Amino acid sequence: MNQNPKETAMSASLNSRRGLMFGGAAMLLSACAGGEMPTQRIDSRNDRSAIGMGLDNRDFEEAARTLVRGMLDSGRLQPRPDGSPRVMAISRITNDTTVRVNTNELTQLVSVELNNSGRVVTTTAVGLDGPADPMAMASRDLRRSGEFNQRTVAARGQMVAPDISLSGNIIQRTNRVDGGAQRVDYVFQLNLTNIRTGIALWQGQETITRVGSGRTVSW
Amino acid sequence: MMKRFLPLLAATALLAACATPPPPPPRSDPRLILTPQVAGLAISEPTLNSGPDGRLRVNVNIVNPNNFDFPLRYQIDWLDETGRPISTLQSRPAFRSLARQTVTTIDADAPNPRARDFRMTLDADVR
Repeated sequence: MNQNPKETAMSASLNSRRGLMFGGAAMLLSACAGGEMPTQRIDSRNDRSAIGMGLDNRDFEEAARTLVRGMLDSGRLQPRPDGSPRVMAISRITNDTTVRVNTNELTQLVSVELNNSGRVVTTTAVGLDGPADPMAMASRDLRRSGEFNQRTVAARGQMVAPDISLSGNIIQRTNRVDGGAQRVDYVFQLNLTNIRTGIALWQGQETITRVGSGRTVSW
Repeated sequence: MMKRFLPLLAATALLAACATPPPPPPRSDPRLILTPQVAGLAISEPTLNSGPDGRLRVNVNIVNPNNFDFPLRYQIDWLDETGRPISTLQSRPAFRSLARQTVTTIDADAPNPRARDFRMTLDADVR
């Protein structure tokens, strides 16, 4: 089908105008987006950056610090009868929030701080979903190898079994409050259980709360 | 006779009035560092005790005389016998909302018995 040359010219002109409008809008948008905020480095020991409704590393540090302090102040974490520190295994920490959380972030902070206290050491050779470090057990396979000096291979019966276990939950509760705002409570619960008796040596809870715009989401 | 002394007395009084007021007495404990933002708070001298497990514990009482809650940011560094800060979660900045017209106690425990001293910084939590 042949088109009138006049119509063709008009159509081309319209297309170019549309293109110009779209191009202008795109340039404006990119200019606005680019001028917002330059990337900055943040010193985690002096972090005054804005917070959101979700969890960030400051919240994990705050929760871990308060909970570890409760553990150490409780007086229940006494050393073993021979004076050596207690051996702790990391059990299950359940994330019952809408935030995607790697619970290792909490357990690592807690175990490092407990280790620094000198009262607790953590085993990485035992875990609910397999050991955190499978190498301790895997290196036992070297006992069958003639290539390794057997005096440098770990002998039988040298691993130390855990006597306490760390478990817990992270819970979220979201509520609408007056003025259309939103309140989010994140509850960090931790338990230390005596593995031999099954009785909780210590239990603690720390709540971190935010109140903010009802239009923001916390995940 | 009195007339002679009157100008002298007036000059002395004028000089005394113009003299700058004496600076506030320095805080006796240099381990407590206060920023100008917390000048409106009444802050006690820190009390340092040793717990039964050999760890140090520090307490500071803060009175907020204002009619509004005060957002406080505090940080406590624990120092070993060489004066170096011990790397610990306990030395990360912490937030506390000081309730209006009341006393709040800020206390902290050393992470382990190696801590020999501390340094506490109090600031307003402004972003």
